[in-house]
Amino acid sequence: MRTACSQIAWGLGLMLFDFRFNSFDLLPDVLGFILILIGLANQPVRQRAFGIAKIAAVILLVGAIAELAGVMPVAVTIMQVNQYYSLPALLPIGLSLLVLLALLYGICEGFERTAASLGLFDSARSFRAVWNTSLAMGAVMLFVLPFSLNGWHGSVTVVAVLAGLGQFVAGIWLIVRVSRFGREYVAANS
Amino acid sequence: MRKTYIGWIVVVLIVASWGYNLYSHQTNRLPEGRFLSHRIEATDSPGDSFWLYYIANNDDKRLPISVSIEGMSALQFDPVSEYMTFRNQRMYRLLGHFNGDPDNTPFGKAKPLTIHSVDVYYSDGTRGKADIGEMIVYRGDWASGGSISQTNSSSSSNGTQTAAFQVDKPVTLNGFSSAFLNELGSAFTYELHAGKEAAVFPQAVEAGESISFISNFHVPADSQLYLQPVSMRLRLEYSDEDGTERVQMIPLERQPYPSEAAIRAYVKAQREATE
Repeated sequence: MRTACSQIAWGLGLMLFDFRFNSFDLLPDVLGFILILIGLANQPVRQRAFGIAKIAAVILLVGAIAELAGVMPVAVTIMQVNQYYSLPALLPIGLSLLVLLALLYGICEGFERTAASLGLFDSARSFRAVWNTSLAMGAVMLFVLPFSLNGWHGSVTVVAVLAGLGQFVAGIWLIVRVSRFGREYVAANS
Repeated sequence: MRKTYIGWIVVVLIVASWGYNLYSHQTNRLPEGRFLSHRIEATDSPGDSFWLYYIANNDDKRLPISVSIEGMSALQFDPVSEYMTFRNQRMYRLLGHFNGDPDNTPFGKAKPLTIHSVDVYYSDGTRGKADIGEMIVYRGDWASGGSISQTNSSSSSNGTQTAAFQVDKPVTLNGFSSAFLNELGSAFTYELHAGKEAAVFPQAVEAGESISFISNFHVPADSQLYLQPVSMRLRLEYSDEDGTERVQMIPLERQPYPSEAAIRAYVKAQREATE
């Protein structure tokens, strides 16, 4: 369990952080999604939510491979205000955000249930809080995103930056929480 | 139960946001990029210039790269540049200017050219003719040998434009005209003074006297002229002491500076026209 949690935590880290050198991502998302999938597959406790996370990770992995292979254009981010006037540019951002939320839901819900089944209620509450934060930030992003179609770039950027920051903090919180849960699980079963 | 309600409210808000914005995006799109309807007077004298304005949706990739007018090789256009940005559209403009050797044909001998469309080469590799409104090009040498010289000119942000002239030799003012004076009607007002009195035609003006001109555009936002760029060459017609008929040009510009609401109304009218 500890190794599996560690794999998920590393996967989330690779997905969360982008270190680009001459536009080349030194921490490719592809590797992150593969680690998450391995970590989820190695979970000793089967949870339906982990299945949702696996499906979401596979979809994101396919997208990341297509992007890396040049089949799909590099996804624009919500901060690139001049890039998302059009629906074709905006739709992939909205869809990837939805799938990302599904991934986070699967991971948080799966660990929350596992923690609760072991009587680790503090951990369970913590995973619930991470998910609530991620959901709130994702919902704000999904709500403001289409306004950029109609020229509300300044307002959209400000809200998106704040929501993105919130999601980033929630992501780091989840990495720490998953890593710690690996140790808690081993301690609870020993 | 409470969480379920909150969840549904969030979902409804997100769906409503996408629905409203997609609908608004579709209904605020221009059917296709186009030139505004201009009213341009220009002379083919080297250095004379005017702007052409083009409006397109923000995400339109098809923009004019170069513009030319058949039979007017002396007229060249600078590359397109962004002029104004709106929620769903952008306005671009191109500067057209006459180059080449001066035309020595006496002014008035060559008939003015009237142009309604230009040849456009677009960024997607296509070519086509595009309507620009109405452009009148006066030909011939009007600038040399005159008895009136311009001393200053100014324009202010409220649309007021002034010009002042010095009469070097005695002249007789015969008239004041522009092709678009009637069309502009009350949207364009002006005063022309010879000395201290309002000019009348014909009127003799002695050497050393001054001629002053002040004008203003008053175009209400709901007027059809509101989005119409105007470039006038007002013609002060006079004759020298020896009876030679001459023209003193007074250039005037009205650049469009539309509001967001005016652009929305324009887009709506264009959509209705194409439906």
